[in-house]
Amino acid sequence: MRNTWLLLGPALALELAVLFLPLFYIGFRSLYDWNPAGTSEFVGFENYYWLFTDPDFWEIVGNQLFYLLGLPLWVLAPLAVAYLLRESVWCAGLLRSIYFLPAVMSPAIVGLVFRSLLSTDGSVNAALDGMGLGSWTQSWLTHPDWVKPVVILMVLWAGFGTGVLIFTSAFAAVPRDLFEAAKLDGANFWQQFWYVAMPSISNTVVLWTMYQIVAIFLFMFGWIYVLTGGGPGLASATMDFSIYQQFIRFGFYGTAAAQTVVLVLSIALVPAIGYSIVALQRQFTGAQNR
Amino acid sequence: MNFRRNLLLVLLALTLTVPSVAQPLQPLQKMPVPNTAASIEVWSFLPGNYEAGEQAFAEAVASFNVKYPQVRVNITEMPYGTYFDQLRISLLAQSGADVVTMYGASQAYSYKDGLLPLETAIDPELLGSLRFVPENYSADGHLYALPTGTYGYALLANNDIFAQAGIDPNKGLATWDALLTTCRTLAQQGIEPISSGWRDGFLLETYIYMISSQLMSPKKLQDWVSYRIEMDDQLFVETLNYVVAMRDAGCFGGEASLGRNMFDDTINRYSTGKAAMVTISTVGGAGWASGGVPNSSGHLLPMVPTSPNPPMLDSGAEAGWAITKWSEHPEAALAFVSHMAEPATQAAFARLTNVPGNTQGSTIEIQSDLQRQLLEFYSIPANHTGFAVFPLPVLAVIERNAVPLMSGDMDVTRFLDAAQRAFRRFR
Repeated sequence: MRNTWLLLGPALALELAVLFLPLFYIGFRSLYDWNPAGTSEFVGFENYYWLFTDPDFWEIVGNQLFYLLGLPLWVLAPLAVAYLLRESVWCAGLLRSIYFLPAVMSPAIVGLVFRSLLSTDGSVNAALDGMGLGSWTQSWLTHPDWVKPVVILMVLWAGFGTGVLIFTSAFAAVPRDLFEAAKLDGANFWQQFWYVAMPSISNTVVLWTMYQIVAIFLFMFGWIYVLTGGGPGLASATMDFSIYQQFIRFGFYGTAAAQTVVLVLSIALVPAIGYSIVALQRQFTGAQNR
Repeated sequence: MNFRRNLLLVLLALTLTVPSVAQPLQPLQKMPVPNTAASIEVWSFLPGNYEAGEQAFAEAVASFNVKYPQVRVNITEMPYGTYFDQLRISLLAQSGADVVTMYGASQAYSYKDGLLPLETAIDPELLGSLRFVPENYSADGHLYALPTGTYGYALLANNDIFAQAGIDPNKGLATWDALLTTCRTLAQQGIEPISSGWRDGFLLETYIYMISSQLMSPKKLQDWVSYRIEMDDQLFVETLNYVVAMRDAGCFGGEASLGRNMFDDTINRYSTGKAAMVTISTVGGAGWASGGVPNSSGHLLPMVPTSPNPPMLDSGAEAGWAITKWSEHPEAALAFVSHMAEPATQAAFARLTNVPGNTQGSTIEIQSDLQRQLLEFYSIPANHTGFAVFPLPVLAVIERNAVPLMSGDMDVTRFLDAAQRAFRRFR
């Protein structure tokens, strides 16, 4: 027992020091009119009051939930392509590499390129105009109705290759005999996908879904900062972007700390709900099978 | 065991509370520069603003070193886009430059815990010789940034386009109603009246400065500087209504302007002949914009009908200089800041950058009629601005809501509600 703690001790201490202590510190500071360079006054839950009574905060929460509408797309699109690549496809390795390329590109560069392409005077509108589709041109990044779908599509573009890679690995671990047996039993392409492939990689699908949810809450900053600046208005702003603004631009340190706590709880809560649904579904399916 | 645990908890609590008991700032006092060698670091976004910016700063440092050879000055140029973020990070780390370029009033107030109040340290004679000092005080009664340079928002008009449209710019821009009529006439002829870009929000800020300054009597300006009025004041309702009136008269062109930036899109459009007018803030900017349009003339934005002021320009200090509280050589930093504000330094700076100083009677070497016109505008005694008083969170709200307001997705009431919420938060 003593040896176990000796072995675990350094890792636990490191985890505590670099992960949990800063988190607790932020939580502690969220109860102050936090002023890192001066006098901080204890204000209780006032920062949370400001946050929850601020319509801007709820608009940003609404954006986060809207972005979650992209989840089926972010999961199903790479899943379908990985499944198609499983078959004998011409240059499957090359195609996988091409799909993976966006994953190794800097969000700053990608954001700038998309911004240039999608600006009102940009190449996309120019191309539409050139093809006689002038009525299709839009203010892609400056109209509140268009900017969120554009962000969803860009997240798909950026994460697609990683998804394909992960699902390809998952499919590779499924014994081919299962598919051959299903074929012999007369299962068509989609029946094989639905009744053989999906149950075999369901854990990977759940994992990728959870990763995408966390990414939507945590890793959007680079895209939003460069592509839309959170605008128009707050139409595309995310919580991480808002925390950055509160902290760095406005110097509202306490509110930023409170928002960070809310963000951490949201990240913990949404996957928890997801896992609960999956667990309930499995229990229900198990009960039905019994 | 309990004792040890309790001791640990007390130590932890103390550690977490240490930053809460930091001492409030004391104003910097006058002090001589020691004869021992010292090195100061200066951060600024200004050198990149001018063609000869680096040379201007090198000359300013050289003349400083004539007086203080023992002080080595290292200027670090930073891009404007991320400059204030870098300052915030520096403030959090409580380390970085000794001297920084900073706007005064509420913008400096946002960084007040990293800056030393200067009002008692600057030589009263020098302070008295500078324009725009009162409006650069923060609401807490401290002067965190010593203002230098002069900017002024004016309109440039492409005389050829005006002639083509059959409008005399002097008549067409003489009054507010004439301006709106001019916009309508130009727009009807398919000409973009004022080169516009709302995406970065700076152009909306610009018009808010220009029009709110017109509406501010000296007393109202004082009320604004000391925050006796807020963003829900009738002054700002009127200001926004005038901007919307310009929009509705077609002054800002079509929907494409929503996707453009003020910097540098509007200048480029004007200088390539795609718009009849553009708003510029400096003589140097006017030179850049009129580079492709030599037949340009300068104009005041016509006074709005409810203005209590005579014809004037929204004009103030170009920027200012502040000393950080972590500077290890505050005496040398103070000497450098004072040096940058001195008439001789500002005159030398103006020669290379075309930015007139903010010392009384400061001017630049006139090279064109356009420059002469703009300098005449700069010298109007009634000029003033409430620019530096807008808190950063309010400016952020204005910037981000510029597109919704100009596209009609947001009305003036909602726009000002959002700005007022940010203002109350700031207070």
